[in-house]
Amino acid sequence: MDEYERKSLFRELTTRHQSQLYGYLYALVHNHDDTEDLLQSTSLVLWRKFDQFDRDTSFISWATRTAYFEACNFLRTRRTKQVSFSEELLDAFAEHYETPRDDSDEYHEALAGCVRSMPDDDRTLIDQAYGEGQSAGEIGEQLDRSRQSVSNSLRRIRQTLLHCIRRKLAKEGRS
Amino acid sequence: MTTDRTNNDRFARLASAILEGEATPAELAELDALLLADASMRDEYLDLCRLHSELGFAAKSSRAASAAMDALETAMGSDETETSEAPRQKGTKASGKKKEVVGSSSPRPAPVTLQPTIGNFLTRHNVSVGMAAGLLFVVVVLTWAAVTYLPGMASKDEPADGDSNYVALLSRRDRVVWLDGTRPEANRSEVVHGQRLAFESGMVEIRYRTGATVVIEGPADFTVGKKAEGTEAQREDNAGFLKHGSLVARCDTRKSKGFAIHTPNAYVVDQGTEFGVDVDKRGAAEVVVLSGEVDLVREASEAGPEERMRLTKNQAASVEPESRAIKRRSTADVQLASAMRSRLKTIDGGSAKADLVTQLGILDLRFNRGINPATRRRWKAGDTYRLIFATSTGIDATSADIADYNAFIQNAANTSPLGLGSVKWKALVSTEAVDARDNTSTNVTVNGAGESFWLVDGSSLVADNYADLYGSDTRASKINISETGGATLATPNNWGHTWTGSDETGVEKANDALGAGDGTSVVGLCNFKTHDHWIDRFGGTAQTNKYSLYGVSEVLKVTERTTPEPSGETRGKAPQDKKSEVRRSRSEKDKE
Repeated sequence: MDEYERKSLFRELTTRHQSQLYGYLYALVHNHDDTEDLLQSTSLVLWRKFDQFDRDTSFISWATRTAYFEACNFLRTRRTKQVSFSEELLDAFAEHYETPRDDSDEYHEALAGCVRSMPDDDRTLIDQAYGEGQSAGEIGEQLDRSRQSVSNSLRRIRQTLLHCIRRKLAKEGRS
Repeated sequence: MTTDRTNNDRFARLASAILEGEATPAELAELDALLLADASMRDEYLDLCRLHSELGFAAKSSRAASAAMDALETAMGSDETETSEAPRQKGTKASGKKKEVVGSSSPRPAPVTLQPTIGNFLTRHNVSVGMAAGLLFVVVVLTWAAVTYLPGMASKDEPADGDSNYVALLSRRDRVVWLDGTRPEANRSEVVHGQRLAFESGMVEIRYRTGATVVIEGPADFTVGKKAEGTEAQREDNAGFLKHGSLVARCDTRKSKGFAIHTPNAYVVDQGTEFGVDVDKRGAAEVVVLSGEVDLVREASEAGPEERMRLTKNQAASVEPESRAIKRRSTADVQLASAMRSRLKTIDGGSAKADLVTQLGILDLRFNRGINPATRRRWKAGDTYRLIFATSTGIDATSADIADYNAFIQNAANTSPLGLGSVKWKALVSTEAVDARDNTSTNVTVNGAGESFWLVDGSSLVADNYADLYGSDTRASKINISETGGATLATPNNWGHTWTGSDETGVEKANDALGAGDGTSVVGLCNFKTHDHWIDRFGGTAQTNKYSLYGVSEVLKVTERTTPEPSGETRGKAPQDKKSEVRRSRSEKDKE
């Protein structure tokens, strides 16, 4: 593979998987600012080590391993300053995520289908929370509902979507 | 087991609090214990976090260049090790300020930035405001393309001729929902002649070996080569067939000259240019030239001889399936503009009010989903906003007279090709005598909550209001467009040093104001990707250095359009147009 192909492949893989990687990092550090930093530093490490990636293996598996170590290093250096999950739990996450699903295309298709099948009101809430980045409180203010009520709705919507996506992926034999 | 897990209300509430950035340290510890004790719950938690992230990315799919990708592209382009250090040096003011919760305050996942390419693009190509409205679809797509460009990629990194059989590389795909089994194989980016890419939504970028780059927006059906998949055609490696959909092509290498986009009823041959093509499901095509020249050709057939039309910059034409004539479309052509607008609405959420205009004509009210960030309501006549830029040239900070800096900013605005000089601008700097927030009338105490701030690309939101400008919002650290519509003075070495002389509240930084007696002042960093050091980053910087300044416009107005806009579209509405209508009606229902 020449340099051009190498760059193109890397760009394509990181773009395709970056939302999945972001979700994994967010699970570990539960903070958007830190997650964004970590996604950035992880991507740079992945690029530096891209020669070591075997194209016949799962990119997301390789990437999440790297992300895990980046996150652990980050949390160790920040541990005294900020509340975070225990090291025991981080270890446990690593065990559970050694073989992440390489299903980004199927996942996106499933997610799009599931969102389409939701009632208009629910899709509006998703738009507001994720498209416009509004907090539950802000949405509540606009809809004349309490923050807790909006939060409950968002929780229900996420659960519904999760079940729907699992169903669709299971149909494709990917769950 | 799954039922038990999902029925665990406590877990669900705690996880929700984490996702919404509302969890307290006690709740985090409680969740930690729950997750440690239950492996299935850990799976559930990881799945929820993934969904949370995917929803956030999906919601902003047309703005696909994240900060991570920005840094990555830089690193890939330069391979300089110092680039990789940048993210580690950033502060974490945002999280540090919110001691009562462990996450950030918004449920919004990864901040995803729209790079300043719309402004750059319009400037570079001298596209008039009227034309710009019609072209916005193309520009948005091109924006997406531009952020994927590695510096010099098309020329320096042009693939070497080899024995590989591929014609192009799939260099980016974003939130693509593939159709008809055309999804490319994982971990393989090569695209071969005759390969079809059909997708319901999302965007795909492919780079031909000739150097031509094409960005396609779904729904689209595209085949690499001259004809649709499965049809006989002579091999053509510098061409594509767009059965339907929208694309933007850039052909700026020697080898890509002559690049052709075929459509069911005509084809476009590039003569060194950037152009957009939109084909509906009937096969009707519209072509808009953004720079350079193209030939739009209707091949000879039994119905008549070949028709050919040369189009140059800012010209447009269309071909209807039932007519052999190529119809030139003027830039004022309402139908073309209207059709393009409807596609832009699909991308941006379909919430713009077409009967409003913005002072200076720069701010596009369709961004931020048509919501005025300051009022959190749809834009309406009488609303106000402000623009902000960082200068493309530098000035030293030795003067203690704020008038010198204001003059520097106004002069920059006066020479702006964006026409910024027709309004008043002030420098966002503090001297020992005047604070930045007072000089720019952004002092909440004196000036009230204030307006939203936008970059001069007209699409990138910097702050919702005055408090937000001086808050910890990282958006302010992306003031990376100058008065030229292009780059600021930022360089890889200085990350966009910008004189401010101010602390993070817009007040004079003690002993570090501009012109302070000890010869040093404070700088912020514009064009810094992820953190909030836009105003107060390095104190003690020698005043003799020439750095950028931030320029802030006077309060600008949104008004009713004075000339009525003709209505009507020639095309049938695409499914996504209907979605936009549904979205609009939902929003209006919410308002009630």
